[in-house]
Amino acid sequence: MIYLFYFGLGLCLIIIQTTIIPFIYFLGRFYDLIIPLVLFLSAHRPVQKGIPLILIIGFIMDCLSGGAFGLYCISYMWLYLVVGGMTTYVHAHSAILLIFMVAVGTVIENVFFIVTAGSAASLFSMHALQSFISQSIWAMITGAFMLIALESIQSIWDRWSAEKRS
Amino acid sequence: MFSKRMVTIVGVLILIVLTIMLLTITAQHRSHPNILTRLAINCVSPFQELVSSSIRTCQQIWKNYFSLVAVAYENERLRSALNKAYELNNRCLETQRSNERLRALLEFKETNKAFQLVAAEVIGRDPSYWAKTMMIDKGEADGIQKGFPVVVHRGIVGQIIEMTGHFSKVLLIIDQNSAVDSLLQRTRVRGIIKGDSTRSFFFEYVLRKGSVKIGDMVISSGLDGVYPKGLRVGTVSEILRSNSGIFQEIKVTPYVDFEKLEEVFVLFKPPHPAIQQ
Repeated sequence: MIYLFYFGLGLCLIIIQTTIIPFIYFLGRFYDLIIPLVLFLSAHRPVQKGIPLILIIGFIMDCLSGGAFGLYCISYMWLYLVVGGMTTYVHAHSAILLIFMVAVGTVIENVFFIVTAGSAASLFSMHALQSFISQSIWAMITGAFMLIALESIQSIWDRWSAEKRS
Repeated sequence: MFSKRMVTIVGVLILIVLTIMLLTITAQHRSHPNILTRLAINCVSPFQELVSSSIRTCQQIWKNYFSLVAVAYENERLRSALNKAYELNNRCLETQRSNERLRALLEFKETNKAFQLVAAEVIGRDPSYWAKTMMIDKGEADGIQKGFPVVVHRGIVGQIIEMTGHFSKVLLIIDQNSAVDSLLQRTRVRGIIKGDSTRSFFFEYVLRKGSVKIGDMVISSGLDGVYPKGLRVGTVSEILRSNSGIFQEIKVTPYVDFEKLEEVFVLFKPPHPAIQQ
């Protein structure tokens, strides 16, 4: 049931970032809103259940995106694995870590995109740098809030499930 | 046989290779959308369309609202500008008409150099229907005295009946109590002009034998001791000759439009010392 909720949330985020965000001009280059969800799932959900979910969400993003097919799937999968691996060594609930996790996740995804686009030189261009900075700043400002909100939802859900079971 | 660490490393390496292969293939060959892709697009796109159209509607409303506000401001500004233009135009027209009147008065003054004239502005009128008087802005301080005739370039207006330091009251010749000794310019037939209404007055005491025609000009005779000789009064508009009586009944239309008087001249009968200086 909770995975269905996360799937719905992922769909909502996809719709928001493909429809509403482009209309808000002052946001400029905004980061991928799915990244906080992927990071959250990787920190809180087992691989065997989390990976299929983010692959489905990535698949939908790939369907809607004009880039190389599978790019989002792979980006999300690697983000999931890397952050999942990291959480075994660091405390995933630290606020500062959350802020930087989203920012780093955004940069990693962008590197994937640029490399896949076939031009490694563009990775070091001014546009790429501006894009990285803009997205990272937005990720740091809003990403942590999204992760905190997701954690709150998760705890509410857990309490509700426990009450239901008892 | 293999340690867990070894398996992880190999797994990661395989994943990297698979990633590179997959991305290389998909980046170069964009395959046609399969059923799953179509399904995903068909599921998500209606929501995208809904949200996008809602945003566009909101944007349109917002934009229209702002453009309406801008139009309202512009409308207000243009109205204000139009009112100012109207006011300016009106002032120009007033100046032009005033200029025309003053030119006519000046011309009258030039052609009547024999008289001492003082220009005055009409500042008030008698509201009563029965009394035909008006106030002018010149009085004793300007040398005006009772009985001084008041004229305009078109003809006789009336005479001063009261004055204060700077203002005077003028009895118009259309008042029932006013009388002007006059004569017809063409035949020199004498009579008395008596006030009747704003539109006409009576030329009375004209003998039946006197030759009068409609359109004859009536001028002041100068015998009443008030108005100088030769000032225009009006034109004969109607003649009634009854079988009995020794006088004719003649109606005269004044030259002066008493409703539109704004500036007048006061004639100094005996030249005032102040004016002489």
